[in-house]
Amino acid sequence: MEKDIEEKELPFAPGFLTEPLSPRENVRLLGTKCHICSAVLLGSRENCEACASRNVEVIPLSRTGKIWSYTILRYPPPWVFNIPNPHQPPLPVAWVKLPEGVQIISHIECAPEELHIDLAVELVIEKGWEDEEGHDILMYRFKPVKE
Amino acid sequence: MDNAIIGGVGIHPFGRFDNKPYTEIGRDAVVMALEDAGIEFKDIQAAFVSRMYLPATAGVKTLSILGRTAIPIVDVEAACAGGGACLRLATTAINSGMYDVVLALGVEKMPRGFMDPRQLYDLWQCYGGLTQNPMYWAMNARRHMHVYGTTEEQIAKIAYKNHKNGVNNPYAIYRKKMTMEEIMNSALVCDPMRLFMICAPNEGAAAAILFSPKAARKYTSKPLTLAACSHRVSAVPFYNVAGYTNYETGNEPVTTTAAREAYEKAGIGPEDINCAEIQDTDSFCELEHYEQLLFCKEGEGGKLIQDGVTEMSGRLPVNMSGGLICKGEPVGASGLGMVFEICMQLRGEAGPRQVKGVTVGLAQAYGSMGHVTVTIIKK
Repeated sequence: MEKDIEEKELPFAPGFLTEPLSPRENVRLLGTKCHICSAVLLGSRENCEACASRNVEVIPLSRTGKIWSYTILRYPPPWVFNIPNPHQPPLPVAWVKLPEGVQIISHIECAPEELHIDLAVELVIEKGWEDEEGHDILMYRFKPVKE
Repeated sequence: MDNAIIGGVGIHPFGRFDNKPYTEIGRDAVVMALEDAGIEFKDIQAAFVSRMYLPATAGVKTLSILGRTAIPIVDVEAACAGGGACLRLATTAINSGMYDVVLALGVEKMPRGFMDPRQLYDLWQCYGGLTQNPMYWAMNARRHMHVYGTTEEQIAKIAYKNHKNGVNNPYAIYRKKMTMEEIMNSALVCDPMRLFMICAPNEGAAAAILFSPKAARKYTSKPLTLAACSHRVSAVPFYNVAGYTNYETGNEPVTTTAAREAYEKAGIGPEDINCAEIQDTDSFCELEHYEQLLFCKEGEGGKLIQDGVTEMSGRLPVNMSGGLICKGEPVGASGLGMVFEICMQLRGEAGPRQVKGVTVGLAQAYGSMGHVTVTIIKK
């Protein structure tokens, strides 16, 4: 039974999420840390995108961070697929900065009026959409940390 | 190495031309440039053609209307900076000594409405709803407001200026002056960016014919010197379309890197520029580019527009053409459209848009994934 669940779920892209994918609250984003220039960027890489060195390490990233800048989409993002567009406005989007220094663009699960620069947010891993083979695709977003 | 000479320029209006194929749009710009340069198509020895949303071999399909003259023709793509990238390749071809007469053409016919995001983004970004281009510009604006105190009024004033300038440009799609109230009350797209602060995709073409100094002596009586044409792609970080992760490395913005290279090559500084056409995909990015082109200090872009420095009547007019906000942005052609305007200004042929006493002009284009071109042209 547990195996069935695992096979039904896939990450949004390879090399971006830690495994196992369940339980979801334990899943973290993966980043690549450069041992030469110390840049950290989202996703698993063989070269540092910032300095082109190959002296890099894939690391799990912190689950919490702060909003660096934000906006609110007032129109749905473009949609070219045969399933209904799940992304409906008003839709908060932000550059989130994690303690490692990495910045990640993300939807923010909150009311538009809650958004502000430096707002503390935490990672949420949830089903984002279903692919054509019926897999649940796990996607990331962030939500405000509740006091 | 001698500089390449701009011997002729041409443009097809930017707009919507439902019944006109892209090949004819491009052809018209080339014919205008040929007449301007005083040559015939058979004199062209090589051609670079910038386009992004057209099919493969669009350059050959366009130019073969004018004749299959057995010259090399290469399609170029560098997102919204494609026109500048194409001009740079044409310059390189002249400077290599291989050719004396080279054509740079930008031509585009973009679909209406939202562009298919799969052209620019990874599939997961498309499914994930992270592909609305203006969100990047909006977050840059929001951050700038937070750090430097830039205001929505200052951002709106750039749109106001460009709409005012665009009234005088027969090649622009939008030629209606707008009030600050109309701009600031237009629909929010991505806070704080509003509809009338943002450019729209469309169709059009622009062309430049480059001569070696030898060919210039033979053909033209009104040469302009292509003093510098630099093309750079951003290092990390870049907060622009299609990116999804960044790190504050301390690297300067790519526009500054390209501008420094261009100023050095041209042997001038930003203070020597008399007028400029710069990327206004949205009115905030024009403000940010003032700073990144070193027209003012970091954080002072808002003050520059507030003080009227970049108005037609100011010390350094910017986007005399009305910018992309008024012309629309046929992405393959827009960079060469900026070059066209600068050439008109340098020759004193810009009519009601003319800035007095222009001897040095600059064109800057900025595209997704961090493409930037900076071109400096001298009388």
